[in-house]
Parts: sequence; C-alpha cells; structure tokens
Amino acid sequence: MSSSAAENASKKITLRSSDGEVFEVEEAVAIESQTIKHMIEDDCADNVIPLPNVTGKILSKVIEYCKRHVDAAASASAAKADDKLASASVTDDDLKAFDADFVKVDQATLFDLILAANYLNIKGLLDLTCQTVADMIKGKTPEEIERHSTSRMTSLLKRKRKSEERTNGLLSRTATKIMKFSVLSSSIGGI
Amino acid sequence: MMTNDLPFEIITIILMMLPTDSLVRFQCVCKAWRDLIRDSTFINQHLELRKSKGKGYLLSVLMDYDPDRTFSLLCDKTFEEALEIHIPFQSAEMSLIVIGSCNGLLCLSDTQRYGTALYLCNPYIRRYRIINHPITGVGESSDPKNDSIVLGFGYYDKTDDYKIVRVVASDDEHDDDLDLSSKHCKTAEHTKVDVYSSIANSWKNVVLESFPWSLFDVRSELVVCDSIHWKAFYRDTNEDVLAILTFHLGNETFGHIGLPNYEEDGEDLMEFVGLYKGKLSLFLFHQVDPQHPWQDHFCYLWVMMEYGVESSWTKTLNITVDPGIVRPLVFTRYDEIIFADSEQDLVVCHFDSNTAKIIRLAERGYLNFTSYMDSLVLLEG
Repeated sequence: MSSSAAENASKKITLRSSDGEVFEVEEAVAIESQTIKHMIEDDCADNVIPLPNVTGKILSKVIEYCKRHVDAAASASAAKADDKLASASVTDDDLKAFDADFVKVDQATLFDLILAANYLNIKGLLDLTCQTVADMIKGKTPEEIERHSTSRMTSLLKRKRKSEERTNGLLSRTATKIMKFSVLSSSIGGI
Repeated sequence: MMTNDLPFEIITIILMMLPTDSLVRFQCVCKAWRDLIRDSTFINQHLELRKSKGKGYLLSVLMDYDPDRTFSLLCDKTFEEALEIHIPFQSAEMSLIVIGSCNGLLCLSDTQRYGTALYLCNPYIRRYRIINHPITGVGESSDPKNDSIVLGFGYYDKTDDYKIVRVVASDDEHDDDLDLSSKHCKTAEHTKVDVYSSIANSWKNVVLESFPWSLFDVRSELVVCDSIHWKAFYRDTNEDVLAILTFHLGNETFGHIGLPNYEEDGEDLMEFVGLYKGKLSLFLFHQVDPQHPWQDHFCYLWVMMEYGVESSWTKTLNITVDPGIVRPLVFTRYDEIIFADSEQDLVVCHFDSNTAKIIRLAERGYLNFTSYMDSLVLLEG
C-alpha cells in the first residue's frame, strides 16, 4: 500500500444523517462525494459533517456503494501494477454485478438514492440510478408515464378507499366517500 | 413512476439516457418534456452520450430504383442487421444516392436529378427537408446537361450548421481536344459553387477567383478539422496532379492538401481517402484484376500525422488484403475498411490485425455505405 493510501485509510470522517444517525467512514470513501470532498478541502467540516438532506437508511446504502467502488479501484490498480490484467477484469465484473444488485430496490428508495447522489455529487451513483430509471421507462407508452405522474395521488386515494371498506357497516358513509373519490378522480383525468 | 417528484435537472439526466425512439414518443408526456426533447443542446448532448456508449450503425443503401426503398441499418460492431427504416419521403425516381451522413442526418440526392433534387433526412425519426437547387448552367451559354456536379456534406459544430457544398463544372472543359494552355486558364467561369446552410435554409454563392480543379469523386462526406475533403486533380501548367481539395465549413473557402509521394509503393495504385484513428489518411490499393484474381493484393496506408503538414505523411501500414478489392466503401470507427470484392461480396478488413471477413447482407447489388448514428437531429423539421 502506498503511503498516501495509508494516510487516507487512517483518517476517518464522521457523517450525520438527517435523522441523527452517525457514520464513521474512511476519508477515501467519503470523498467519493464531491460535495463532502469540497467541505473537507474548504475546511468547513469540523468533527462531524451534517447531511440534512439524506436519511440514515439511504446514507448507509450510499456509503456501501462508495466503499465498494473505492475498494474495487484500489485492487484494480494493484492488479494492473502487478501486471495481472485478468484479475483486474474479474474485479470489474464483480463490480458490475454489485451495481446491478445495488439498484434492485423499491421505487421510493431508488428515487431517494438519486436525490442523495445528486446532493452528494457522486457521479457514478447518479449515472447508475438514473440509468436504472431510464431502463424502466424506455419501453413505456407516454400515457403510462403521464398516468404514473399522478400515482402519488392515486395511491393515496386507493389507500383511503381500502380503509373505508374495512370499517364495519355504515354503507352510506362508504358510498358517499366513494362518490367523492370518483368526482375527484374524474377531475384528475382518469385513474 | 413519480417522475414529477424529481427535480427537473435529474429528469434531464434520465431523459438523456433514453434511446432515440423512446424520446420521440415521450414528447407528448407533458410540455416540459417536449420542450426539453426539442432543445438543440439536449439533442446534441444526447447524441454525444450515445456516441460515447459506442452505439453506432452502418447504413446501407441499394442504389437501384425501388419504390419501397428501405435503408438497412447494421450494427457497426457485429455487422448484423439491426433495423430497416423506410425513407419518409417519396422521390419521383426513388433512386437515391447518399451524399453523406452526420449526427443521424442523411444528405441524399436523386440519381436522375443529381445535385438538384436534394434531401436532408433523419430516417430514424422520420423527418426530412427537401432542399432543391434550380437547374442552371454554369455560364450563360452553357447547357446544364453538360455540367458535372459534385457534392459535399458536412457539419460545422461551432454554429450547429449542416452544410451542403455544390460544385458545378461545365463539362466543355473536360474535352480532351483542348490543348494544355487553354486548360491552364481555367477560370471561375467554368465552375460555380453554392453552399446550403441548414440554419439559414438557403443557398449562397461562393465567390471564386480561380478554380483549377477537376473533381474525381461525385460526393464526399469526409470532414476533418472542419473541412470537407475531396480527391481531385489540380490543374498545373503541364500536368494534372492528384491532391486533396478542401472546403472549410466555417469560412467557406477552398484549400488543398498535397499527397505523399508513393511512387515506390507501385504503379497502377488506386487511392481512397478516409479517416484512420481520427487522422486524414490515404489508402492505396491495386484494384483486383478479374483475369488474375490470385495475384497478391498489396495495400498501403499513409497517415497524415499532423493535419495540414504535408511532410507529416507517414506510411503506417503495408498489408496484403485478401480477397482483393474492387471498390472501397468506407472506413469504420473501429479502424477497419469495408470494400466490395470481385464476388460482389462485402468484406470488412481490420487494419491493425489484418483480418478480413465477409459481411452477409440480405441485399446484393451496388451499395452505398455510410456510418450512421441515431439521433433527434431535425426534430423541428
């Protein structure tokens, strides 16, 4: 290991998520985020770097991504230095497999990862997550895309309707509510 | 897909990663998406992203008459047929020749009305523009039927302009009976040059003081360092010298580049100019003799290492290409040359490894080949 890598390995950065979770990471991993890198360079990071836009759940995933990529880059360059091109390409395949699994998450998490990658300015993660969304929508029709834009409203309405149906009796109240929903849904333009 | 919950700058990144046909469809999702997809900066960035991902095609066009003409798109790595695209317009004779291709735009001309019936077309998104040029003779008294027309197509990125150059020469001067002295005083009276600009959507005459050139090829799409390049004969006092004529797309002036001295490579060599590893290069080959097809087919590749510096022509490769070349078609982005052999097959030969293989195509016949990239260019029409 080179001396600068040893220095980086020993230096730890503390990150705090929006919900108060604290993560200690190696500096080399932390500076995968250009945002954090500039904070450190500009010396405006004291002991803890607060990240008010990222929850603990998402931050831990982002850290996992960055750590994996930093490790892969280090072993790839070590392999190339030792002239072991075959093992360098194996690392590359492992990383691609990791990336593919990494984005197998629910939509909400995927969107949160995109927002986090954007805020933290991690190009690789932003490209990976955006490409995943691009691949999801490329085969859709414009109507499907447009309809899904109102899906938050739709899913809210669906949840409300289900909870109404669960209440015992009082069909009239349910009927009134359903009527209200259908009026609302027709104004949105068809659910 | 709660795409409305993402900031628009991120939606832009996601849209830029979409394939061209998805973007054409998604114009109707909402106004913001439509405006973005039609924005020329977005279109160019989308194209650059696709180029960097290595998604390219070769477009093949059969030159004979066919009212149901389609273009065949082959993947430029595997040469497998990827797509067939119909030509979005009807041309009276439907016998089209591809002048050039750039950024997903094709410049086409009718073979019967060459140089007068012209089209800019993005077949992938089915957009086209008819650009006609009036049929006029070069001089006052010359008959337009005797004129020979040479075209060039190129993109000038500094102004985002697609240009067509049209060089008309009165054929009278090609008369061999003319003695050399009168050939020498070849003035601009015998040649007329117009340039079409896609931004202006109009033709402009290029003022010439003299034009001592006789163009060899009927078209060119070879653009290096913002200039279109044609193989041409320079009319010197005593003889015609083969050289490269250039037309700068920015300042719209002609220039020239001399060729290296390749006498030692052999006699009866034919020349083909193209781009090799991004540099202007000259490919020399012996056209295969059908009577003696077993003869060795030596080929040479000279590369101009420093553009514009004639002393930098360097003989880079000396290879034997098997089977022999009848008609070279195009240099590809992967350092290969595609040519037609004596069996009318298409062969691709990789320069560095000197491996050749035959490309099997559904269509056979006289083909045009050009590199192609799908894009949204010309979406506005």
